[in-house]
Amino acid sequence: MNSNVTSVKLVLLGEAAVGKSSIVLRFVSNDFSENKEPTIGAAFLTQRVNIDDHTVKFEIWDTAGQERFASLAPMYYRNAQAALVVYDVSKPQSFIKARHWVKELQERASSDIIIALAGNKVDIVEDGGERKVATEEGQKLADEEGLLFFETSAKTGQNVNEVFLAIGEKIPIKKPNEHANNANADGSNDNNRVDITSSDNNAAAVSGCNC
Amino acid sequence: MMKDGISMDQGLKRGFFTPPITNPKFDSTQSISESYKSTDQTLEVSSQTSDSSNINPDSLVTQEDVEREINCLRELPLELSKLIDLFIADLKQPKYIKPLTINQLSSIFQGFYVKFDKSCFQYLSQLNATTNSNSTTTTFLTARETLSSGLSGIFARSRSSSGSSIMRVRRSSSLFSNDSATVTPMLTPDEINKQLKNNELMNLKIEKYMEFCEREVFKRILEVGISVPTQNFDVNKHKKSHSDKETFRVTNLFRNSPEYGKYNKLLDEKFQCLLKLETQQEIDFKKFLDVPESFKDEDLPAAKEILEDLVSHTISPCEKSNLLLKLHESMIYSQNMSNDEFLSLLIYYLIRITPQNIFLTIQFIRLFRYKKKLVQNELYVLTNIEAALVFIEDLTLSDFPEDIQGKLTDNEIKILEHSISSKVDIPQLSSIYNNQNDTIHEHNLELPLANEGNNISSYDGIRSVFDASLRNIIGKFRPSSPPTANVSREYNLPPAVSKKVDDESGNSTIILKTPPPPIPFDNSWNKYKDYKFEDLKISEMREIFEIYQKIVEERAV
Repeated sequence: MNSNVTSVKLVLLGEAAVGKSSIVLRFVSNDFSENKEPTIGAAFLTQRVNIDDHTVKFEIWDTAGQERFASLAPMYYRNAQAALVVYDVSKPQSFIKARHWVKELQERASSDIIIALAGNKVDIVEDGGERKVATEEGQKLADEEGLLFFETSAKTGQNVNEVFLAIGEKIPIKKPNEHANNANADGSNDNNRVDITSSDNNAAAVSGCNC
Repeated sequence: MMKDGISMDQGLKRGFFTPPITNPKFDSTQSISESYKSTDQTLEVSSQTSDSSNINPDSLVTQEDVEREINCLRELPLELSKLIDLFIADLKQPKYIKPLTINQLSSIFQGFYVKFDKSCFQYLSQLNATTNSNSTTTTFLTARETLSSGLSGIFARSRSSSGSSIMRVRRSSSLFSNDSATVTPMLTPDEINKQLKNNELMNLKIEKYMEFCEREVFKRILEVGISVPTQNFDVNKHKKSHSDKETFRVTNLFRNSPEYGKYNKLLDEKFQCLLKLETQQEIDFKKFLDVPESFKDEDLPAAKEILEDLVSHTISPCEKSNLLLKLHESMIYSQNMSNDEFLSLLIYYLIRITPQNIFLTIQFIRLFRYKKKLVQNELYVLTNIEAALVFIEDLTLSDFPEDIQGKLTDNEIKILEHSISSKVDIPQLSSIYNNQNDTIHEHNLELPLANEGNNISSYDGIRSVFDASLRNIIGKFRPSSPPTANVSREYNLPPAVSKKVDDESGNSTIILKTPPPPIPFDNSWNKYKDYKFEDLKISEMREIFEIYQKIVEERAV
């Protein structure tokens, strides 16, 4: 059971008020079923995504976006397999900050970390608001640094799932036989422990042989 | 559950054989997704029913089950608690040439947790096996019986009254052949769920046992100088007044790693200083930290109680960790709270409440909570409070408005002048906080300090030699063999574990490359007999080692 669930630690980075938590809340609220997984406000959330025949379970770690907390970020992105760097398309400053985060992640986070860049609040532009960061700028940064790139709207839900699915698709799939060593995946830790195979076979054998 | 039904039916039509439910490679969701694949190949944000029956254990194990099977557990079974006795007895053996650092100690504990975890499993499986061979009420057989009809119903009944040993004989008979497919060597969906549920319950039990284990281990460490503990023995005799709440001092554990103690002391000092500034209204920390406006001073007492329980009224890392979760839950005023709010509120709480020894307490959780369980939200809240502490230790005068400096006393200026990390260096911490390319913690399960692998292996070598020699020479110091050996004997641990035991004794050649400088031998060889291991100073341990060497020499002559 569950042997093809891959747990992914995803860390959210970005200036305060660019809508990091809104994106995640939107993503998580797609789950129609009652979410029984543990959460801590919008700061720690989990969400499962089915991709082909396996399941990626995102453990989403929010970080504080205020500048004064910036030096604490390494404690959060430590061991993260994925990062979502968010900026606000109507705030150039937030894009500059996003650029810093990307650089820092590439220098200091796990070398194989998957980074996605999200220009959030595109709904503002569609409502006639002023865009300050062009799509091309975001795309250019993403191309240069090898990032996934999406412009999103947590408000309308535009591209929100797509970001996470794109990340999920880039996550190396854990092979079932590697699974036995995985201590991280929730609930799947103990899969290989319970050995009741023998009783199954006994039952089957008996029902067969009494004919 | 419905989906299982569907998948099973599909399996039947396609002639699939049901793999053993316990095969780790078997995934019941696999068959589901396969049957859907043709119709829906697109990516799908997981929703709901398709995986909930398999993935979410809650759907199988009801609250009622938990109540009946898990919550009634009050203590460890004797067989398991014996392992803890042995572990503690082993810890108390004077077999290390120098006091263990906190990290070495942590790795020993983590190793023990892993072994204990496995033993729990062995224990519960054996228990299940015993119950299953009794003809009466095994869940599996009854479930099978109620589902059976016609011929298979008769067989089921006869089966339920026969012992497992008989079944095993039958299993090897030629009747168990491929052409018996019509007799359905398959499990019904209900049976699968039943077993999944049993597995789930078993895992919950193991989890509970692990909690007991953590608690027991530290409780017994508190009990002075005895390997077979008496109950309700309290080390802190001067604090007899406590009722059901227990007093535990993590500081003792960190004694051999003085840098932790120093860091802790400086941090406590800094907290006091900040609290003073706050109460004297020199600095408005609410404003300084952007504490969410919804915070009210009335919230403080509840948080205070949790934090006090955290530092002084709980023993096990697991209890403490749960309190951190509770603290975060108490802080939630909106489901939309981001970490900006949590973190600033958390820092504010810490300043207002100034829980003593908070740094050591948090390090204690990090080092002694069973690593396998320190995941997800538990790890998140731990990281959060660690971050809050780092923020505080890093807070210096330059972070405050300039006009504040004139109002501070010399001592306050001294405390706030530099960050604590610039005064005390704890290498382990900087690796936690700034680690760049280390392996994911799940890979370090057995050896959390992979980067100190060399130390550990050499220390193992030393340990085994000490084991062997001490056992031979002063056998009375060591009435029992090491717990690991017993564990494998009693519970048939998997080969991996037994092998590890062998390795330890096998490695005994790598020893004592640098014997300590000779110290004049003191004839009072038994002068340490009333000492507790953890009370020994390095010099005393060295002396004991000298005594030991002398005894070896004498024996040799």
